[in-house]
Amino acid sequence: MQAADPAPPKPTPLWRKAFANRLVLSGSVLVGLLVLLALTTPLFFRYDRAVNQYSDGLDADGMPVPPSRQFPLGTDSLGRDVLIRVLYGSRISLTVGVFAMLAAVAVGVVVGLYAGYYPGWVDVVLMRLTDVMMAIPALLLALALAGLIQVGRSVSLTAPWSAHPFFEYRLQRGLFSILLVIGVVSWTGIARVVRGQVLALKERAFVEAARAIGCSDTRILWLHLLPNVLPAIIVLAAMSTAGTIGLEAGLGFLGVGIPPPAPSWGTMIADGQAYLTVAPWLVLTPGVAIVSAVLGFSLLGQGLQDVLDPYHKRRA
Amino acid sequence: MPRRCAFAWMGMALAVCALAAGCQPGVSAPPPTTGWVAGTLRLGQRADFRSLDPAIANDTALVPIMRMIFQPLLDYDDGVHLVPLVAEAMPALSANGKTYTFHLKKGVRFSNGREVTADDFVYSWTRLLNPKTKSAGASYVVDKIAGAHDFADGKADRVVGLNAPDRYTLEVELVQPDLTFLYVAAMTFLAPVPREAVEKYPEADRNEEFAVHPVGNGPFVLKEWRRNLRMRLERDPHYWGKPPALEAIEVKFGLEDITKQMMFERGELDLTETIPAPDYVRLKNDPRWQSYFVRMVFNGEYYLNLNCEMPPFDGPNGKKVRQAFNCAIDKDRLVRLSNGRYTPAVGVVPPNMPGYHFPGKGYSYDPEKSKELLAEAGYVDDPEHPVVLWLGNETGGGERMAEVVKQDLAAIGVTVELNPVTYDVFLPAAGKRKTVACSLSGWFQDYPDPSDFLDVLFSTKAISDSESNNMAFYSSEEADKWMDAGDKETDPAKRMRDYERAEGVVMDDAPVVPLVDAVEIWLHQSWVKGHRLHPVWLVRYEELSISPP
Amino acid sequence: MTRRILSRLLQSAVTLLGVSVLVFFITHAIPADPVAAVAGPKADPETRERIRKELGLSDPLWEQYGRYLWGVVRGDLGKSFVTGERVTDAILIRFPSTLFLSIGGVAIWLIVGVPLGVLTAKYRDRPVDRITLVLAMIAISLPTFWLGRLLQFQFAYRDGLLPVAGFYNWQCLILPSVTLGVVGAGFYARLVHSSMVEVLNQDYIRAARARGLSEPVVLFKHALRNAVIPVITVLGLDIAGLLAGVVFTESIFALPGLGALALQAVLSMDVPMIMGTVLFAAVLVVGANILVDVVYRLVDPRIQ
Repeated sequence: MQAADPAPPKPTPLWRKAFANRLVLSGSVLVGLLVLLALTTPLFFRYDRAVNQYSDGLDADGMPVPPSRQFPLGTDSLGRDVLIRVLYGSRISLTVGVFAMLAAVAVGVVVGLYAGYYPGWVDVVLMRLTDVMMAIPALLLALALAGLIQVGRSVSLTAPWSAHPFFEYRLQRGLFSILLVIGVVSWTGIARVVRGQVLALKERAFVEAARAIGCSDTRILWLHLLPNVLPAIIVLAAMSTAGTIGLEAGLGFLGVGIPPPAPSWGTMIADGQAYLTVAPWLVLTPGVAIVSAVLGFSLLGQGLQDVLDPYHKRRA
Repeated sequence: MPRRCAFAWMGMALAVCALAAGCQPGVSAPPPTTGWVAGTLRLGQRADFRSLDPAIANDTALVPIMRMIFQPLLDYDDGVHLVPLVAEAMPALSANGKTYTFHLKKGVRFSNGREVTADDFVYSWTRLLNPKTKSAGASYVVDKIAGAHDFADGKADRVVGLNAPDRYTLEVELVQPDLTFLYVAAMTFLAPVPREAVEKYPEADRNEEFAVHPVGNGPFVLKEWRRNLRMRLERDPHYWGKPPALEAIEVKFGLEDITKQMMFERGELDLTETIPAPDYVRLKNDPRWQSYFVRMVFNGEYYLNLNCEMPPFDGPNGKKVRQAFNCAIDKDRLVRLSNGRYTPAVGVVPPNMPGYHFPGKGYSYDPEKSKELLAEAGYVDDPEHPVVLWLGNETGGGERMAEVVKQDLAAIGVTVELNPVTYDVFLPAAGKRKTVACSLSGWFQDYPDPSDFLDVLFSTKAISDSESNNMAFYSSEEADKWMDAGDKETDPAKRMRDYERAEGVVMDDAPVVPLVDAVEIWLHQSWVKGHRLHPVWLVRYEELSISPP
Repeated sequence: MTRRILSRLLQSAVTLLGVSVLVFFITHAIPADPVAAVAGPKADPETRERIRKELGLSDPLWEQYGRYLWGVVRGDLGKSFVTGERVTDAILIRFPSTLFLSIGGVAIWLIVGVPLGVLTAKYRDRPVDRITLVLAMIAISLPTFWLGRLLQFQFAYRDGLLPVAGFYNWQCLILPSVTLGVVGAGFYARLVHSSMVEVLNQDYIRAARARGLSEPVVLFKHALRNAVIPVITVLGLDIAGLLAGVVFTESIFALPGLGALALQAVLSMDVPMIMGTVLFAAVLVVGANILVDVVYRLVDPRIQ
């Protein structure tokens, strides 16, 4: 019989460990900055300054004005202040990015949980569906859907349900539809990973024990398995947001994103391309903004993965 | 910890420096002096051409190329007057004004060596009208030529109005006298195609095959077409007419305007007409480039359509509201903010029509008068329900125009909301009854005749429930009366007077605000000689040559 | 192994069928009119109606789908609404461009990414590792279209070192490949890095070093062979991501490939072309997955 060991050291709380990781830290700083800017912009600048044309923002030839005291980042082709537009663009990117990610996570988690837990036809059907969606490159599918929705937008003006204020505002402005589109194309990777985790976990002792004491399947899924899959989901959420923000910018660049005059970063780059010689700030500024936002979430995701799931294998 | 995240900050700092460095506007390079290819004209296009079948090809950009491969009966001189091309002389018109008789030149040959005969025209025009060809150009002739309608509907197996009594004589009978038919006869739609070159392919693919293997009677033949990459035309050594100076024409596809401009400035292209606004401003102020610009006012106009069937433009007070809108727009400011690429429009018909002169003065910019008219009409502005202005966001500079309009209308107390959509959403919506109250659209001529604008855009017969070209849904018995009179009139001078009266009625009723007329601005390299613009064809490649700068 | 391949092939056929149904449903749920693309803006309503009937758009949906499927089985993907080309021909003609561009992009991934990954694993936690980490993360976050346009503007237009656009010679592929490759290079650098780190800690590496083998041999002959396994699997799965980058790159550099074709098809509502390109892309993705599965089983010694 051994003498009693000295008390084991208290384990470091998870959040402390997370923030000790330099990737998580720098990612959080970037994301935090983004959120701060997105939330506080309306307090400092009115929205109409981001969307309405201002003739005093253009020079005598009708061309954009370079950065100056009045316009710290210059103006764009319609005379609008680029700084204000970029700041409002952060609201769009963040909203679309986060909510599309939430939609993707919601669908992906549900599909993954049920497909992983129930063998047989449930798994087969869900996985076939996932395969079908994964076989189409996300951008192509998003392009096709976004194009379709853009067309439907004009018709919805005469459809009876368009009178409802929710649809009239959201669908017309385009934010909601882009959100849906991006969410629809982004859930499959999450479903795959979650399913893989559930497959591995469902043979474990704690699941057997829960079944033995008579827990229903639903209880097991949501109250026992889900919390154990949560770390992977958090990592996926961060990385997925980086992807959704990039996809929103890409769709905006191709012309099927949120319709003008909304200051989406991708659309700003598309509009500013012709001005690279005379007004390079039109392309550089939104680009740096996109890089920062995506970088922030990527760092966060990568760092969280190192912290929460260090033995993560790439292929489930 | 600060040291570890220093690296992320370093990355951001780098980015900020790049940004700061990039904020210096660039300087233009001088026009290139090398890169030209002797005898070859190199052009660029945004999208691949759809088809080289004259019955199908209807892109404006394609017409200058089409007329190098195919040549119809008539052509234009240096201006807007018709001259004979494959026809020997201008056609004779019968006493009742309904039948044209064309005599063809002898010795006009297709590139496969066979002579062009009157039968070829009968065959080609019949093919145009055949629904299997799916030609949009059919609409130009289906209502004009006698028997065309029955043939297109399948009720007859030939077009009774088309006859070739002998090898070189073509008789065309019209439904009613129509002087504009001669303009249509000059369009590439009505160029002859050799039957054997079409029918040598199996019926299912016939038109698609001919579209990529065209055989025509023009000075150039198609040598190579790699879809979406490039097309090459070469001079036909057996061409029956005067040989052009150029030996080849090459077109590169898939170039957006920005890319095309970059390629042009590096000497990779010889001619460009789609100069992006910032490059235009930069180069036109640069003395080294100025002499290579060619400008011309073109018969194309942009309108603000005011839907006469929807509030606030309908009803007994609608006319005053529409007139108020007309006085509210500052067209000079609009032109200035569009970098001078347009010219203000006065009437609804653009200026370059032969023999046509609208005597009215139009509406001048007078916001005070606008406010008076609005008050008289009893117009009450409701910011919760603004006037929605639709536009197709590919319309050249359309968004900027719409912004100016919106600001000018705000100045007279009308709240306007913009709704930019893609062109294929815009067209069906704006053409549908009671859907769009206010829209921004443009119309470019098919031929220089006022009926091409008045009848198409402002007559009652142009209104349809779902695909109306008359986007203001304007219907006036009196205007229709003058337009119909003009359509049937055979005396050219009297015709013009009839149309002028019609335009007068339209202008008074103000169903649209005529905004600006188009200005074509082209840029050529120092080694391109003979470049000038034509009011119908824009550019005529047979005039160009390449020689050392 | 053969049985597995066959079952995978069967699965893939079912998947592709599902893809065709999905895309058909999406493209035919459009309320507005592809006829507008064919007829152009100036055709009158009667002409448009005639064109609509000729294109078979007035028939019931299931009939249209049945006709389409029967065509696919025979290799006929229909004809473009816009140009009248046979969709199959259009896709096959444009496939080589995309193929060359993809090879160029993957080449950059591997030529830049793999060595960087190896280096940073070897010199772990030294400044080289940290700087490369930051650069790699930034590279992953760069939008492809932004990078492409900037590279084109600076090196082709301003400096004149490379062609601006088009596909006329091999130099035309340099900038597009770099554009496509940079994002992936950062990703693969990280991937190889973490994989190598794990491998380098293994006993057999220490044994190899103890036996006196030189460092390059240890690194490249022994360590890399094992570290590269996850790279191979990820490579195949990333085809979908590659095709996305291809759309932007081909559009900016005017390369006549599938990405530009798909983009144009969507923007002009060319329904048969949209269906054809998406279906073809799905075939490529599915095919790549099967290939990866096979290669993975061949290469991974643990599965032998």
